[in-house]
Amino acid sequence: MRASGRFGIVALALLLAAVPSAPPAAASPDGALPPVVFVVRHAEKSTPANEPPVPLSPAGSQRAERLAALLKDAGVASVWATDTVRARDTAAPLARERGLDVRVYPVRDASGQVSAAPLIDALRKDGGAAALVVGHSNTVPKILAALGVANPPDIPDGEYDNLFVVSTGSTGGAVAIRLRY
Amino acid sequence: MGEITGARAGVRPSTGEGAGRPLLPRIDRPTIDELTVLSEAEALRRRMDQRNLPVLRWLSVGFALTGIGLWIAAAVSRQGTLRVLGSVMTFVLPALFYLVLRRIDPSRSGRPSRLAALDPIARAVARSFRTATLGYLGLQFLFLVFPRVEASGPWLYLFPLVLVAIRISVTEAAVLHGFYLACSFVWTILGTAAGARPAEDTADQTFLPSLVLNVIVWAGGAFATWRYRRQFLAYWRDLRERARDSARMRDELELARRVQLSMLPRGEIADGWIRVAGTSVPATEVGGDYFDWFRLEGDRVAVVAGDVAGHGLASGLILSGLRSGLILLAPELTSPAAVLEKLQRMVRETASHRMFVTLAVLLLDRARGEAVLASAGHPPILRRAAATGEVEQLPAASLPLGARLRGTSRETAVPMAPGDLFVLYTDGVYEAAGPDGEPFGFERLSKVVASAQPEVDPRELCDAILSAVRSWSGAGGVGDDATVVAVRVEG
Repeated sequence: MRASGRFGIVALALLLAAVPSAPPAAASPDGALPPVVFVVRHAEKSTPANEPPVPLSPAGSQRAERLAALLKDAGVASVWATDTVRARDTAAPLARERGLDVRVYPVRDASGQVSAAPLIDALRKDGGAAALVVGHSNTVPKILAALGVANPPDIPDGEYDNLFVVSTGSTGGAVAIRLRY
Repeated sequence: MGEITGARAGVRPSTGEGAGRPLLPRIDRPTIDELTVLSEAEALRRRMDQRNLPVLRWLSVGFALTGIGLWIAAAVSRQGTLRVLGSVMTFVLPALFYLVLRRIDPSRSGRPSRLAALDPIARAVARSFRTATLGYLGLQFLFLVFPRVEASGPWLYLFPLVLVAIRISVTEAAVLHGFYLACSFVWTILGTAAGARPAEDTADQTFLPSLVLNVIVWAGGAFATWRYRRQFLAYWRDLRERARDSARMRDELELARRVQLSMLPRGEIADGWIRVAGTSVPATEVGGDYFDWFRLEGDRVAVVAGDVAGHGLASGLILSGLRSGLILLAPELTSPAAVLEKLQRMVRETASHRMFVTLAVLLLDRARGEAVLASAGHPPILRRAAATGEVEQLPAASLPLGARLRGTSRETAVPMAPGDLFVLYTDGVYEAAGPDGEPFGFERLSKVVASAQPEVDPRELCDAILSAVRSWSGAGGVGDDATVVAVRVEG
């Protein structure tokens, strides 16, 4: 048997024996973040304007449908969006698929600054196994940082296909992966 | 006092002569290898030499200025040739030594120097620095004292005090002080012969005070050296213990790296109808990327590429477990989605709560003339159709494998024809940042694939992609593990 084969089986055995398994859809303890948070920017909008009533473009609507298809079996228990039509419409297909309401979160804190703190508070109160958060190009990095992701990337203005999967941690650190959808 | 660096043996020449410029061996930032190999005595010697170097430079400046003053005085007062020559040497010797010290100073190793002409002397001094120092202090003493026997009394007292500032061994200090005392004695004889004073007065007023002074300075120097040695050895032993731990970790990481590399397929597939090649470049000793291929029954080949979020030993361990799972499930790779679902179950049941793994499986079926792919959050596979030459991203939006994730895998089938290229890769390829932070991106990656010759060899295509990524990243490096697997359908 090759050394690599032995190493692999030992590693597999270690993984099997030493790491406690977790119930995949366990509800988070009171006050804890959902174990998994999906963070996206809203899909393509119909005009370049940034006003709240601007809706999604047809391409944006298709992307929202793709997001719903991708996450429909992911155990999402709450869906969050800012109070803009494009964010709510991005979240709507998944919420409909899961029989949930799109919940609106404020993007500014009490002092009027753009902040992820109100969202994080809401997520902590709500808990749940997994949550979808729809934000904007200037708020997604803040949300990721507030969830504990180190060095969150900037979102270029023309990018709408990023899906960040964040596995939160009780000690503040988080593991994240960026997917395209 | 310094920090441990992880340089490997041979990266930095320990003697200082391999870099082209003669240098004293550094000891302020010892490498792990130096810490584990150097004896305590040698380390202490190097540390003392390094400490003495700036002190000697300042002393040389003082000696040279003094020598200039003496030379001017000798010239103005029209003293004898011996005195003038002695005065000249009292500033020429320290000036020369000062320049040599600058030349061999390791802290100036990165700076340009116009003193290359001194290299033969500097090389000799760097090679025997302690001997050169003792010789210099002895010669300088002679040049100050003997040309002016009747006026050199103060130097007999002042010069030994210089040794207080120098860290040398007790024996070496004893040799120098003994030399100074011997000179004092000779001076006494010469002074008496010159009729300066009665012999008894000279002995009482010069030699005996000189003896007492040298003994006191020697004892003080010995005490200071003893304290210095004790402090340094405590520091060195602590550093060495940590270095041994670091060396052990380094060796284990190196072993893990070799084991992980042995997990990657050796060679390539060139089975007549298909050619497959892959390359993985880990960002650290143990990477988080993985690729493999499996020959299946009935002219079918399954190619897989995976990536654990992050890199390092933990990622390598997870990949090792994943690989074992894939080997066990290899006969089932004719149904890629089913294999991914089983792997997801394995990860959910066994792995760390917060880990993610992306994995893509591409099944190439010659008989059916199609390629079937299934993905778990992996970047889209690129396909260049021979018929059109266009590069497309095969749809594969899906969630990664993860202990906290639930998702289903789907299979997508695309037609496969001779000349078609398929490229699997990891995010380290398209996310490699350029100098201004802009990622390499899918577009550039697709362009490299599109620009490949129709008959391109998969190995050459892998190399071309990674070469383009490296060029894009520049001196900053790719930063993450980068893996490319290329498949070419031959017939």
